[in-house]
Amino acid sequence: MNFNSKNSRRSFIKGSILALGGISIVPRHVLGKGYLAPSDHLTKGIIGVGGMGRGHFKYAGTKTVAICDVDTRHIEIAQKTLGTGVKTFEDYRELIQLPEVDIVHIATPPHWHGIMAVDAAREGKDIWCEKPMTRTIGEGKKVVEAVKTHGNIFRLNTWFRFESSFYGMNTEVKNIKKLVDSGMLGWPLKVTVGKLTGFDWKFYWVGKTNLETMPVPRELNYNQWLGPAPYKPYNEHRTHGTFRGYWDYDGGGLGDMGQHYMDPIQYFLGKDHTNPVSVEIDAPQQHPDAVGTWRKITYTYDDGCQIILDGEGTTEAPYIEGPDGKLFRGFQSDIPNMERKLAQFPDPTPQVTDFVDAVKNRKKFALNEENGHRSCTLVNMGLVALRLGRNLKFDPVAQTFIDDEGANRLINQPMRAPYSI
Amino acid sequence: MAVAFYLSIGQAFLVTAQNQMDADRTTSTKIADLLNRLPTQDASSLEAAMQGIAELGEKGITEMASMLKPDGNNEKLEYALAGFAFYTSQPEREPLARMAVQAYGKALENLSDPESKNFVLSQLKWIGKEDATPFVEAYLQDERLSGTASRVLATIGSESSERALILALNSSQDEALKLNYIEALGDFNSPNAVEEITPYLSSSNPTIKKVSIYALANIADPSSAKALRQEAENANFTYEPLNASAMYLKYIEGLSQKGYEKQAIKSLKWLDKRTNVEDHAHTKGGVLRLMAAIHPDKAHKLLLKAASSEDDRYRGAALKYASDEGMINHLSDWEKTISGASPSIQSAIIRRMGQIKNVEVAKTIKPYLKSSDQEVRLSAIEAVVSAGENLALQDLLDVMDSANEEELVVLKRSLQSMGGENVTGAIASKIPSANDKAKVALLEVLASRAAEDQVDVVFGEVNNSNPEIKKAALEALSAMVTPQHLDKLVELLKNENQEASLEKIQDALIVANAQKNNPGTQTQWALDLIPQLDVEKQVYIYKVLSTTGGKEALDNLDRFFKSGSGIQKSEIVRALNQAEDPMAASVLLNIARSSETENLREEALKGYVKLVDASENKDEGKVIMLRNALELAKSNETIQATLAQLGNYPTFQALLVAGNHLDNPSYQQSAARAVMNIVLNIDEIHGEVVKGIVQKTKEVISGQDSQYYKTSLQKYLDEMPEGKGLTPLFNGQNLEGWQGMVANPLKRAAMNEKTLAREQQIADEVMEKGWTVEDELLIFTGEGQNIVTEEEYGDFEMYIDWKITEEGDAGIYLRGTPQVQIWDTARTEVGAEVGSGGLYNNQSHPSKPLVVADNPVGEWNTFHIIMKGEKVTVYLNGELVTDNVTLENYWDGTAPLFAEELIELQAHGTYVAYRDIYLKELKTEKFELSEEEKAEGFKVLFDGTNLDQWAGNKTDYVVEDGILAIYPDRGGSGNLMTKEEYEDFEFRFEFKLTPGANNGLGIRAPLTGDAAYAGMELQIIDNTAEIYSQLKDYQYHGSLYGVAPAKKGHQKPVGEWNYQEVIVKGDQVKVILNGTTILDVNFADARENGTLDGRDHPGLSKDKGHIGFLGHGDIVYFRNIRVNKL
Repeated sequence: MNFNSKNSRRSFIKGSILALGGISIVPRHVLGKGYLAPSDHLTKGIIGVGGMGRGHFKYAGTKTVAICDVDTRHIEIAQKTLGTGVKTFEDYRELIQLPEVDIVHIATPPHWHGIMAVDAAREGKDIWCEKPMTRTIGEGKKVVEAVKTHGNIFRLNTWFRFESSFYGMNTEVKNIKKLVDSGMLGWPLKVTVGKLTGFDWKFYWVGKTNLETMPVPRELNYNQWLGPAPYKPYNEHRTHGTFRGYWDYDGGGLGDMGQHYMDPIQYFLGKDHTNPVSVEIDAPQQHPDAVGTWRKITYTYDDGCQIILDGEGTTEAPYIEGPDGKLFRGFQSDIPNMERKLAQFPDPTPQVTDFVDAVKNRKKFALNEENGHRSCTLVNMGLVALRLGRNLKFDPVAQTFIDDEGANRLINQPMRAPYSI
Repeated sequence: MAVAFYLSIGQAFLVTAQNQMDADRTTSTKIADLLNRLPTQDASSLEAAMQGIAELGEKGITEMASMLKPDGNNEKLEYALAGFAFYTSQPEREPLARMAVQAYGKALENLSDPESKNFVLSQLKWIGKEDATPFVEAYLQDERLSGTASRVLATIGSESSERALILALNSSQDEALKLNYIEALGDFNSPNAVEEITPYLSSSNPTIKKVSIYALANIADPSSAKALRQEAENANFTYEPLNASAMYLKYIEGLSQKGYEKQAIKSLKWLDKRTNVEDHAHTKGGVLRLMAAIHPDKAHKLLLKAASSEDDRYRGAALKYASDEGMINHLSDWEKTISGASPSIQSAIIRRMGQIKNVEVAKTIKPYLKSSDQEVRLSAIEAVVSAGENLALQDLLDVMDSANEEELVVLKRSLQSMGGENVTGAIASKIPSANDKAKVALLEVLASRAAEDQVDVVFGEVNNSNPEIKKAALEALSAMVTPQHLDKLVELLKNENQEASLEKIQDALIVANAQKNNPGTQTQWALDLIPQLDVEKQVYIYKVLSTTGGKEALDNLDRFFKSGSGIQKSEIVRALNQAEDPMAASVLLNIARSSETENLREEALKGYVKLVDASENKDEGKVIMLRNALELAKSNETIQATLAQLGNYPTFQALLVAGNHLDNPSYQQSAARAVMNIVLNIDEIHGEVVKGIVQKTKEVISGQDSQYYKTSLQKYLDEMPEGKGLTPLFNGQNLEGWQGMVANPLKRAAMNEKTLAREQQIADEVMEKGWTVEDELLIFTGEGQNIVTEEEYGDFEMYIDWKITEEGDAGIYLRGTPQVQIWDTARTEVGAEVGSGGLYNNQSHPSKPLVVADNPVGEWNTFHIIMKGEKVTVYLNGELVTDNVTLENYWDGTAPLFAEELIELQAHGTYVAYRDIYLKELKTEKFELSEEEKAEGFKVLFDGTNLDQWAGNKTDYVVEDGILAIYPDRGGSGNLMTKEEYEDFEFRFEFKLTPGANNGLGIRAPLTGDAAYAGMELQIIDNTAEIYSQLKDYQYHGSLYGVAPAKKGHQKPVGEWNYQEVIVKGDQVKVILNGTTILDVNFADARENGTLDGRDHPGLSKDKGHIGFLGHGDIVYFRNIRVNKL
């Protein structure tokens, strides 16, 4: 065993499993929920320890050994929880080179996600990335390619497709998947995400126009914060927390929350390897810098299935509607004796939902670079249509817009040198 | 001047027509009007606005783009310029895009501020082609703009942009700028730049070096091979900030894509040889991927080898790259690889194979179900099912007996998700012979698959001596039984003594009975069964009844409750709590009200609250139900659940109730969420009370996502209409605001002041005896007289809750006139069966309610009464019972209803209680001429109520709250003109502008056509708007458009009302704005010798015409309009 090699730690973990034979793979539930032998802990480095990153210090089976942030205030707050022993960085490229880091956790604003994920993949790290996966469709393609090339395990961090209650639907997605697969609702399906799902208040993530230039706080490395994004004069509203309101970094409520809602829908519609063929928008004109609100976004797949993001909120709308039946909140349906009939169908294929297990046994995680990129593409299709102010047609195979050069110029956006992906 | 009212029309022919009319107007005016329409609110107005910009032409767009200012508010310009760039980026608008490039490019030269330039430059990214290069390259050397310019050129990717970048690279000395050029050249794959970039690989500046490596890798010219290979080697084939290793792989990929396959393969082999799995697994993974893409045959062997690597990541990469098709085609190779591999490798490959739906693959996996290694077995179980469905079903069942706990979990999960025929049959046949643990697992599988046809096997195990098996079997029953099993289940019930088991049998009974799909027979079956059972077993049938629902079942449960013992009572409550029939609510409420023990009460309330949603009541009725629960609830849990539910019924009453629960920390958050849900779903309520509740909610709301909530609550507060809104008529503490009723309005009016005062004193004394305030309720005890408000009300909207007792009779007089009826519907001898809420005393108009919406006597009811003019609308518990019915004058049948009078609560000899009395006045004060104006001969043209004296566009011009408002985009067209014509006149009116608004007052104008020329127009415009900063003098407010400028500086701030007088006499026009004469001009000269705008104004020769408002593109308000012919 070569402890000097760059990835010695991983070899050690694997080696210890082999050496201990049956013992170390005693099922974890025998040892108590969430129990792991200390040597079995995976280590992680978190990039971005603002509000989102700090929420992920303690994930069972992992230990945070390094953090990175461009704001020293965030670093100081994080050290209060993690202790001063944790390694700290301002440049993520140093963090991802640490041999002792197994998992790189990306909790920055979205304009960094693509480039960091690709670099971490090239370093051979496994990756935990916050939603939305990437800010453009092009960057998403690069992440898929890099993760595939280097054999990494990738987890996109939204979880409704396999855990807890789907926003507002009051039932696990697994049940919906089973119902959809059973064919009892018929086909194609129309899925409406409306006010009852909690979507409406997310619309307030809008940017401001006519921002004054402010002095950059001493604690913030603004240039590094911007990274690949175009340079714009600093105003505090552009950064921490409120960055979601600017196209350069994210896409408002749809960018911030859209993937939470649409990822489970892609899953239960069985669309994990494809995308809709059109997106239609009903929205006011968008400002070129600041993200605004919208009223309605409709996605249509080639088989006629639809997703409707209903910003106006028809509170009584059926949530999932097919030619043979409707499914309402709380797993209520207009199909008589639905649950009993449904039980007679096989369960959906089990998903790999334990990230630690996925990393250790090299299993593809339930929400990974491929299906994560596909559901993020829904977000990005919507954002492109909003910015342009028009409906678009999409080719899910080529992953380009059809007959719309303007839209296609938004798929790949050159980065500020020296950043490239 | 309504210069650009065409924009909201959104129809091309009108745009064109209007544009011709506008032809000679100044570009700056057109731009200003265009900008004022932005941002557009929908697709059709966007289209119209963008067409408008297109019509400005290249020169006009250049002028517009040149308006960007370093310190100004550029928001609208940004909407316009970026919007237009995006608009023209569609292929069918190619010619417009070319024009835009020229226009923006020329504007770049006019602009001096770098941020403005940067903005315009960025727009070229969306539309620039070869034609944009000359404009963009000028900024390559500019420190601020170089990056943007380079990225724009990279997007353009044309020959000329390549040349420009190479030139810049060669001529620049600044390393920071060179970075931009090199990256951009790399981004668009410029082989011509290789020679220029290569030297920078040896730069001592690591950033320069990094982008050079990137650029050369991207360009992938064969000549870069050696240099990039060297960089990868220097990086030790792993990641470092220069990214050389990954870039070398990218380079190889590029080579192969450009046709240099041999060279690519050679490089891959070299790389593969120079790297080792332990240190470079990720790089070797990259080699695999490229090999698979370039040379699939060679890759197959490499993949097989890598898949058997001990390094999990390298192996993982290989398995990702092994395609489904490749694995199927080379299945025997893979089979060999597995068989010779270590267990961890076996299980990884097997897991990968499991992702392929293919029988042959499944067959290959099958033998590993018997592997000696557990990890392999676990992988094989899942993989064989996902690849081959039921192919290995029998094998899986065979290994059940020897499986350990962990394997059983996986086996079970796999059997639950297994597709294919006869799965449950095979499982069932296995059960009798299976060992105990396997039996439990298999029973659970049958249950989760609701295998109705296999239920006999399950019955076979319900008396198993192993408690685990028995439990699993009993649990499985409810998923599988049908009515034909009821007798068997009853036998089980009779013979069972364990409580846990009995509950499971109960569940099965409920399900089996419910499969009859006939509530009548279901209930009858249960009622017949009960007497046959011991008392302690009878309780298990209560839930059968409660889940069946229906009147009979529920009545019987109520009866059992009343006669039952303690344990029976609590079992009945438990059963009722599971009911889905909303009728169970009243049973539960009665139990909660009469219950002696707190436990029983809270339990009953839980079930009651749950049923509220299912009730057929309107939201208002549901709120009353929830208030009943809140009156009784003591436990925080019940209160929280009730408050949470309130949020689902967005009504004024729900808001009041939630608002009353914001103080107690135990349930404050539930109340706050409820308030939020209510206000976000209801916009018609406002006023101090509402504001206070929302404000307080914003302060107390906390927890996850509360920042989002606070923002949206603030938005609600910001958008709340001004004005008094809903105001309480009863303060909950005393009779303040109320007085005794002296006499009917006619008699009272006839009294002199002294008599009235004396009578009032007597009446007040009577009031004190008959009316009391208790627990925030206003109560009439049954003896005494009516009471009335102290204030008089005309038009209003009123909320009031009321409750009567048996034989009860009361009513609410509106404008001192009887009455909105309240009575006990049981009093059929007086016709009360029609329900409350009718206008009881009406003779010729309807007096009966439309439907009976009363709650039972003793329960609360809620009225929402709207009184407008003589018409009354009443909602009782949310149901419309009186629909816009005339209230007749009871006291004098020949007279119309009083315009304003007191509101009166009737005392009719029986108990009545009121609460939450709120009123909102709906005042539309009609404008009336002053005595002076009357004397002078003025006539009212608009008094706040109608547009009877006007003609034209009544779609966009609407009467609202006494005001004439103009709303763009309602789909109308044209102006609003007086029906009558005027020669010499004096015209007085008030107007209020919104930011950037533009309208005009036409005088001596024709009904159609452009009034500014065919008649005359006095400009109405927001002089202060930045977008109008470049107007000509004769275009500002008050000017005689195109002819004579008015004085600026006498407008009130935007949003306030202005008063304006216009006097037209012969050739003299005078405008007095807020008391200052801003125009006093004789236009005879202009008529003879030409106007300031140089245009033909035939209207100057007209001696009479209509007066009107010109333009419907902006929101503008007018009121109090009158005219006097001179």
